[in-house]
Amino acid sequence: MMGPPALAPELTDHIIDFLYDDKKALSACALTHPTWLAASRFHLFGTITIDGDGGADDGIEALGLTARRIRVLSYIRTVKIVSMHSDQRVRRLRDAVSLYQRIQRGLSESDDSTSTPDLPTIHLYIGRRHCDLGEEGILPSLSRISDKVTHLEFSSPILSRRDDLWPFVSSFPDLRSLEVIDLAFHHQGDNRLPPQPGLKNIPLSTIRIDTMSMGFVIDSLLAYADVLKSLEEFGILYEDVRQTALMMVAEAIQGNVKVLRFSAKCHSGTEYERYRRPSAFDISM
Amino acid sequence: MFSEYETGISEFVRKFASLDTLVLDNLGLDVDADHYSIHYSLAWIPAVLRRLSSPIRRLVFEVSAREIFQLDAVPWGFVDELVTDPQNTQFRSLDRVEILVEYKRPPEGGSFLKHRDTLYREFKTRLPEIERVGLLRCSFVSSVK
Repeated sequence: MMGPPALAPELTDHIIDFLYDDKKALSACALTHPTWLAASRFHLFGTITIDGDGGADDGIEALGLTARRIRVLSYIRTVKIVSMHSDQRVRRLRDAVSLYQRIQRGLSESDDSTSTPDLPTIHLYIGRRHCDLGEEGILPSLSRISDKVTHLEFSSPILSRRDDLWPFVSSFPDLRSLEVIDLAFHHQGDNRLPPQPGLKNIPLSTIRIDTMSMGFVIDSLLAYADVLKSLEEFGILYEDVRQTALMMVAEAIQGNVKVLRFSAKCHSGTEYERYRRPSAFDISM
Repeated sequence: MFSEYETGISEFVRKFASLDTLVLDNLGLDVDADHYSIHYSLAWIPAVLRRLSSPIRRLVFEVSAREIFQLDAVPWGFVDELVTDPQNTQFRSLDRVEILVEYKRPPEGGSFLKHRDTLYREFKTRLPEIERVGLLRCSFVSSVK
């Protein structure tokens, strides 16, 4: 007797791929049939968030405690560490790093093969209010994971000092993309502080800037242009009031840039408002 | 003729001599003009496209809109003509023109576009030559505001 008609696994995998951002549907799929499990888990656990501020964290605590039993750690490809509040930022980031290291350990222990498992990369989000990027601030907390951070995003933090930014960025040897959405500073530092001697290259391939502190960013980009040799994608919000400086930036960094993400605003007198920025697209073509 | 502002923008983009992809992003066509004191214009788009210095492969427009008529703020007719004109060497290597539309719908409301096919039909009329030569790609994403 023939069984019910069934779709080939690659077709069901493809269908499940369309549900990539629907956790409820993915959870239901994972429980529907064993052949649907892998594709569902691939999206369910591909990216997990550790909220350094103690908010919603995708049930990561539960995941950490039961990981070996449910064997999902190997599905994790990216861990987002989010620090959006200034209150006890250093301690909370340290806790988030510890949690990441628990995932690392669980992954190593649950791996059956003799080869070293691929450890998840880290996307680090820092936002809102005061943040000290230096040795007295969050830098030491992140030293244990510095080689896993591949994406860094600043979203409206108030940094202690201007000249902390690029040394902080260059402390992540595998950082590939940097996004800056508004910056403010407590104290003025030197915008044009040159890179540390011996720093040959910051391996960033992508920089996206959409910031009210454009003057600072432009100055520091000019200072660091010589060590941004890997830059392939550059995103900028063009402001007509900074035209001369932006031309200098373009000349300094354009060498390897293959992708330009460009938007523009013009000013009405001296007063302007920024367009509200649409969230990033994340769709399959 | 282009204004000083438009010329300035096009000069900036022109500096990038090795471009493979140009993404015109953040085209917020759903911006509430009354709420913003900024002079809102997309007149710089023709200037930028006309003065590109390198032959690009991908041209991408990332747009957010609430209503179909808002899409018409972009000078599509100009884009269609310029991109498919064989005299314009900067578009000779083009293998796709991508239109990404984001729609932030109110919780109670439906979408003015139902899916990618609908969007494609909309742009088929706006970019007829680009569609005819097979370069048009459309993607649509809808999210609750």
